[in-house]
Amino acid sequence: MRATRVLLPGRNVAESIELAVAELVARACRGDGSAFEELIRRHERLALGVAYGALHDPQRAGDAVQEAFIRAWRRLGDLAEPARFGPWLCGIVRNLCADERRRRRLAVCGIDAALGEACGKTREPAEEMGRRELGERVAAALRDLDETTRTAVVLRYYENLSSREIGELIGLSPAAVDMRLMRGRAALKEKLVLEVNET
Amino acid sequence: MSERSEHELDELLGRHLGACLDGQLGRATAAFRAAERAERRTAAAARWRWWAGGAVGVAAGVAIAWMMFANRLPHGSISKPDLVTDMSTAAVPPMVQSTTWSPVKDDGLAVVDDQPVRQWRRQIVEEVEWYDAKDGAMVRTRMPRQQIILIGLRAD
Repeated sequence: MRATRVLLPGRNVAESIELAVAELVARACRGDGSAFEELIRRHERLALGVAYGALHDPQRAGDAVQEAFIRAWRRLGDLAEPARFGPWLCGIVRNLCADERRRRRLAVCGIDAALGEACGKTREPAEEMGRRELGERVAAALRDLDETTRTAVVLRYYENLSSREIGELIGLSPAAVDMRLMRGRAALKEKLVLEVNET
Repeated sequence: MSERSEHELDELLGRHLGACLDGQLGRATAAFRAAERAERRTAAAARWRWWAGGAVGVAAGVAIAWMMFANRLPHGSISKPDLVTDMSTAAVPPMVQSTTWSPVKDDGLAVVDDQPVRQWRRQIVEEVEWYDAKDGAMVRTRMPRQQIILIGLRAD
């Protein structure tokens, strides 16, 4: 679901959104907690998409996003362009995800797969098991993508962002984003098309 | 790849990502509210500590100033002291004038322990005047003393 757009007279949609975000940032800088909560509401899905693209783990992505918003609140005065709160926040999310990956580099690999197999041995209805297995295969297919492609795919399919908007967040041109999306879909299709047909 | 498959793939990805990530929505808001409450409590505690420290500091300053001012009062007052106790502490040494009279008077003969003696009486009056130019204080003391001098006489 996209964030609500506030259209101001004399301005196009994008400019109206930027003004609204800038106003919210200005109010949050003055200590208005409700303004910052509105910023969270508008950018949380976006931040989750970026974090999931980097970490490929919903729980850890949620942890990173939680921490990212608190850091953003504390450093809001450092934001030079209030209208660019979204890309600035995504930078914080990516840095936190990079730190998290560094911390977990020594973790045992494959533990998630082992846990998956252990969970798969519990007794559950066949339909439920089928849905869960499909979900695991989709997750595995996404995990096989590189981080940038995965982030672009997640932001497109979870937050329904345009190529231009995705490019602003991850530092790519719209054409480069389109290329990444095309390759990502092709790789996912190759791995999942059979499961799609079976469902 | 058929269009149907493309559409189904798009739906599959959208459903999967929604199922993965929608459960994480709301955590950031809850965490922010908790952090904001904690920061407000910390700021209030810091403000209380600041005011308390400031009050203690002001009280200490007042106490020290009172002690210093109270101790200065005896030295600062301009009044004629009855007795100068310690001239060495004065910044400007006071002027001292001393005068002594000591007339001697012959009292004639006297008998002391069955022995004749000649008795002389010396009366001494010491007058000392202190003047402190710094304070304009002046003190004059007069101390009389008497000495009896006995001179033995030879009987032979």
